[in-house]
Amino acid sequence: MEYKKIDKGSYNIHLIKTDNFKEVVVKIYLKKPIKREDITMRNILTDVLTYSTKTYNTNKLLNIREQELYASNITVNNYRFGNYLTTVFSIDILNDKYTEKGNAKEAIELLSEVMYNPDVESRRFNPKVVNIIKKDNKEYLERLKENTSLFSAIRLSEEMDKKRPSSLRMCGYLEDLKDINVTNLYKHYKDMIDNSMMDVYVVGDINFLEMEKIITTNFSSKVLKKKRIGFYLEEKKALRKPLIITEKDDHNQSKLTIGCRIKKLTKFEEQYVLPVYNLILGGSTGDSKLFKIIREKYSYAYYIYSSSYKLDHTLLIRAGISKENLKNVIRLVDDIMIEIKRGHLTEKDIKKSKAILLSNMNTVEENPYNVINMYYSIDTLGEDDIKTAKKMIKKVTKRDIIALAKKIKMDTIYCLEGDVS
Amino acid sequence: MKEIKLTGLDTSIFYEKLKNGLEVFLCPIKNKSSYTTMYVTKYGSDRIEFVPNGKKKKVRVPNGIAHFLEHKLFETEEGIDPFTFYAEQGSDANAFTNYDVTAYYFTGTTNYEENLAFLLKYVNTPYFTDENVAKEKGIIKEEINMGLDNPDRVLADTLRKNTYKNLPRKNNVIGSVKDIEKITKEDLYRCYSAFYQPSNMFIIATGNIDVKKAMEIIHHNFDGITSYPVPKKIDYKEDLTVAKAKDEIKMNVQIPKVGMAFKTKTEDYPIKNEVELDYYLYMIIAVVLGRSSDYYEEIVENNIALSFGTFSETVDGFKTLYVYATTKEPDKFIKTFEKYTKNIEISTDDFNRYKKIWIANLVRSYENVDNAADSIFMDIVRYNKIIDNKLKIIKGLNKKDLDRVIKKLNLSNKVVLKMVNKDY
Repeated sequence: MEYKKIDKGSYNIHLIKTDNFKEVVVKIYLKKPIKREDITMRNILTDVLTYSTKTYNTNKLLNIREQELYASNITVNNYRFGNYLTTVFSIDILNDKYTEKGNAKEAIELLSEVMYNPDVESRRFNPKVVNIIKKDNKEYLERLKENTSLFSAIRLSEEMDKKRPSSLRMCGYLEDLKDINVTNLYKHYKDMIDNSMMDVYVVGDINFLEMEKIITTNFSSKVLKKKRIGFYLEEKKALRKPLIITEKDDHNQSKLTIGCRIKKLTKFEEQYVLPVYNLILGGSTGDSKLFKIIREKYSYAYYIYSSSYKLDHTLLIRAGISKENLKNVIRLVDDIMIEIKRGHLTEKDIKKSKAILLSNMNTVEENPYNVINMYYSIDTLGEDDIKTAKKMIKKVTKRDIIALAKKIKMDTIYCLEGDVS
Repeated sequence: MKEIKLTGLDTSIFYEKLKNGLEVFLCPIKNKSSYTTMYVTKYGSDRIEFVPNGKKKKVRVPNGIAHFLEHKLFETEEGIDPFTFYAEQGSDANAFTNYDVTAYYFTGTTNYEENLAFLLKYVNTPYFTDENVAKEKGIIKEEINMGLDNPDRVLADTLRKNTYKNLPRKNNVIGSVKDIEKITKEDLYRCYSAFYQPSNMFIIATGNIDVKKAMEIIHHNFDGITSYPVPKKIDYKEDLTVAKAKDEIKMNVQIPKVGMAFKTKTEDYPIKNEVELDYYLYMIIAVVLGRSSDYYEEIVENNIALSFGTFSETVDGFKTLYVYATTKEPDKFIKTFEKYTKNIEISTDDFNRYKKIWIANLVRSYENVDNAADSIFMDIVRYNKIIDNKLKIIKGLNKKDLDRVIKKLNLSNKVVLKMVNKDY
């Protein structure tokens, strides 16, 4: 795997050459500090941009064009990366070797068309399209509560992190929709294109010179690079005693979300100790302490897991339970966290978690999206590359984990109570 | 061992059928450090009635038992928890149950041979006690409750219930709280010994695997193990009529939903090769209802539905197409669907474009270790064998046969199901 970063002055191109894939994947990252008022607007905007373009001016025509290019698939994703609102345009193309010469180039041109040649007339987006997308988003937001697990996590963040970026609903706000129109949407579009920091990533069996040329012909940015705010949120102290909030809703299962705060970590703790700790506590396998005790020993839940958000300094624990077990589950989670702090964990627990993380690192190079994500973390957060990471993860000790456990504290507990018997 | 070359895909599957009937499909993939392996029994939630080996009388077991059994096979007598075992190897393990099969799998990058041996061992040695069966009921009750809060799942389950009169497919996979309360360890042993027989099972492994070593481990675990006959499938005498043509359910949904099921008989179609027939049916669904169709355009441009789609299934001689939508205007959605499916015509342009897409997708399907395993798995579940000439089949699809299938496609035999808010 060969990596090359090209500084284009106003943006960077990152090229990764590998013959691991039959596909070529291009991802364009645009980022700006996040503001609440931008979120709903951005969601509408990216839906409008991928609905149709100036040349392919109906959704049907754009879909047919993607299909003609051997099912090249364009997607857009908006998410929060610490303090930043990030929009990523991606395309997944089958390498010309398996299609026909020039197919990949044409597919990248289509991605450029989606970004730079929208269906706009005199600085206004096509009103018909904007209306369709607004209605769609409205209905989506109206039924947000139907996804009880997601809703519980959203409500927890709002209660725990009032006014901080981490409390923002990335799905958007119903009340913001009515003020979005064809004109201010265009302004927002110009603002996104003109003022976002841009990074272009390409991975696949590519020729560096040729690809650099294709990218520079199709993408550009006007932003002068300057030091912006950091990615990490400001730290916040945990409450002395966790706050418990319950709300009722008409469904069967209660959805519990427990929010914990993490004190400032060192780079080593953040990249290596925190993932080990999280796996031991409630990581994705059926072998975590939360899973073993709350599900297997007490039968209180079908699912329970934890995930850490280093940029936000938080760790969330999520579970689906029966409401009569709420108090017991909270007490057990608390006990488990205290046990780890006290060092009640075996060398085996640590070894297992390291083995899983090492195995995950081994597979990064098998998926083009993971390869780009890895280089993005190296470039933005200054994380170690895989080779270094594989060595460093082995250095995590029991003492490191106990020290880290002491920096994690329960802060807010939210339960969306099911009320149907 | 036989090498099955997948035409045009630069990939081979190594196949062997053991003396006891167990089938093994090994597909090494170059340049990968990861692997995945599945050990599957052709026993899913549909087999709720059967005549046990050596008996004459049919038994009826509680709904949801195949899934319950899947949970319980993670229990071992020595107390080695499979989740813990695999975590120690840096691997990940899990299982799933559907209507047709129960599958146990692991993924990882190292210690392949130990992992494979352990998979075969824990699935081959059941250990059920009254206590561990009782314990599982609490967990599965939470899993059932989670499903009951998911309106899309409730819609799909109810659609099946209204489509089939006799086939067990009318029941959902997991069962109800009432069903699982009845399950005993004796029930579990009875189902296990009926359906977890080598002749009813298969193994799929893809990715970073050593074919020779893997085969040795499999032989080591199965040589000398015989297979008892597996209970025959029951003929439920299902006919074309649906169980309930019109229905409405109430649930806590903000926006109504509509589901439709179209029940057709496989034997009514003019194409007798089932793989080809399926491709023609997918072609019709893709062109008429897919992202580049007039139907799709009309629904989206007029905000008729928020999210909508299709899925299809093959069960005991039937091919059923399901259509679902989240829509404020269920009747308008249904009318739009009817408008575009009344007189189906497919243009040569559309036909050729979809062939191109499928060829691209086929190349992509062996790009990734998990996708390759899925692809083999689907072939066995659907056709009971590997389809090694898909590229040729796709290239050979022709308009004339497509038109013959369209002519025989009868969408009059249907279920319409609406889901509305409780307070309506």
